[in-house]
Amino acid sequence: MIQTDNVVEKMSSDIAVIGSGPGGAVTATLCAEAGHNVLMIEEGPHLPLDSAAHFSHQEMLQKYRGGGVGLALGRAMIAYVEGRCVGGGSEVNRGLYHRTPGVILERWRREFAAEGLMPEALAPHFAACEATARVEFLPGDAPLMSSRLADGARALGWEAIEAQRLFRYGGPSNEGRKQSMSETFVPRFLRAGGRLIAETRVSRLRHSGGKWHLTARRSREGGPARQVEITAENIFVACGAVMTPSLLRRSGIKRNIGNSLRFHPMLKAVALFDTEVNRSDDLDPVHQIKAFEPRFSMGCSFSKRPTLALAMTAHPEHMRLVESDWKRMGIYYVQNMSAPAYVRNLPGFRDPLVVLRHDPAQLAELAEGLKRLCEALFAAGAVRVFPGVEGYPVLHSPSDIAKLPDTVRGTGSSLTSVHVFSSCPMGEDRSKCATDSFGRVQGAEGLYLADASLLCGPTMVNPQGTVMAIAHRNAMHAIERRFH
Amino acid sequence: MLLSFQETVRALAETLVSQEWGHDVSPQISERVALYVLATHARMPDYLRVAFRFLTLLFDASSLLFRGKPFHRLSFAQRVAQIAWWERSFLQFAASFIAFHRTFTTFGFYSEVFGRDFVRRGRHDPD
Repeated sequence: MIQTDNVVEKMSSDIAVIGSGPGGAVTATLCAEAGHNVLMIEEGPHLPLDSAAHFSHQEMLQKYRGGGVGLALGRAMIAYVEGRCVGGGSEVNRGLYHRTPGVILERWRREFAAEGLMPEALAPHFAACEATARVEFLPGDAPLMSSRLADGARALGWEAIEAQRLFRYGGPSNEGRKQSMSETFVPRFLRAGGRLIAETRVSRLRHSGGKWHLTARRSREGGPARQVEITAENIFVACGAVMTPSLLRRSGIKRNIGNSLRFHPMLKAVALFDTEVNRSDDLDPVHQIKAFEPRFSMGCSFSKRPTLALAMTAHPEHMRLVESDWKRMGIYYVQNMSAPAYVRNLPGFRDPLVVLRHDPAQLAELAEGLKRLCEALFAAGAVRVFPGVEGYPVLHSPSDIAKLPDTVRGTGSSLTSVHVFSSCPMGEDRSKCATDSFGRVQGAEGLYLADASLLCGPTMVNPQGTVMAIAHRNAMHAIERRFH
Repeated sequence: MLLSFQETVRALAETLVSQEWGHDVSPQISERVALYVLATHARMPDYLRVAFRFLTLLFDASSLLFRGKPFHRLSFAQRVAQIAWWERSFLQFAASFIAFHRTFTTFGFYSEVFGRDFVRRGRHDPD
């Protein structure tokens, strides 16, 4: 465990940033470098990037919220994951990186009256973040399981790309270093004199006497829990798209808060190829099919034996293939945009409930996406495809794709998501927005949001770049206006 | 006959491991998988934890009527039969309960046996 700031019963600062993920870490860094006394508070532990192997079960227990168990309930259910450690989601994701597509920004401007979201206005903020959290293409050839997807897409005349990652490649075997927040912005924040306290959960906010008062609880593993009272003039809430609305609602702040949470629901399929495509020394796969965006997108997943086994649980009778033929196997996904979900606190419970609205059209679109993905995999040379949905048949040829249903039931654990956002959207349309265009909460002086909850809707691509750039823009805006 | 949450999760994990990968799996690996599933239970959102604790005890108790023993005291063959009974149930919660344990047991088992896959060869792993 990395040593963080001493925690005493009463603490105060000019600015408190609650949450240390991509939004919180960027915001806290800019505020500290502008000369403010900043305290960043993180619920999870402060661990080195390599405290556990990436995607391992140890990492899930150490760094994921709920040990990796998150569930949006409804007629269709989505199992989702979030980070819960210093650095938040940036520590546990794959770091695939995109700037926000122009079509998405245009939609947010049109539907939410969000100001200043032109690609050219955001470009300096993306560039500033990329100067600290470096973004790179793979050096040399991509792993075969990755390039095979692109080959399949091109054979069908579909556009496919190689995505960049928040990663610095290099070293004797190109092992490189992931550019998570604990490796980039958090050290920069600490160098600027910022204070960080980990393992401290803020449970309530209260505004009185011109200041914000935070009720928090420090719970170190193996140690006694204790109450901490924190006072700050301004607060940035950056707890993530589920926990931010939960904290605000628990504090009595409810206007357009937690009513529009969105996901990128994902279905997976495992492809078995005729030759080896998956080697133990491969770098992470990076190819994506863009031809069907914004309806749905496709890509490759981390495909080592434990994750392959997880992806094969829908086909237990073929599980042994993971041991005998894993080098010929790869995991692929298709994802689209979910219906809205709402976030509510339950009396007597600490963790918020997430309930997903039913959208048959979205589920039908995802089912179509799965068929397209299977087409691409066969075009890429797959000899068998195992859709990651219980009860679905194993596909042996492109003609079997017609056997797949035209919609997804969404029961069981087939729908998953690693992207969660939009629970407190920003913009000037007060009928649907929780904050103004720069993250200031309506009717709450000195209270800002700075995480994925601010995004007006799904980003279609990995949202981390968008979260960082918007946080960078909004923090500069607040600093320049002296928080008025 | 006392019901036990911990012993039921442990028995469920051990049975699923033996069912899938045979009785040759070392007891140490089975135990570590069971501890992983228990640790996941302990970390999951609190309202789900309450629901799962209740379901686990219900699962443990459901064999009392026909077998006179809770699930965690049954023989291997009897446990397999009870898992199959819940897995095929028309009640969604029963099937989901087994699916949850099968998923996390599978991931835990493969992580224990093939954990070296998570580290790129050439960096830390000599083989």
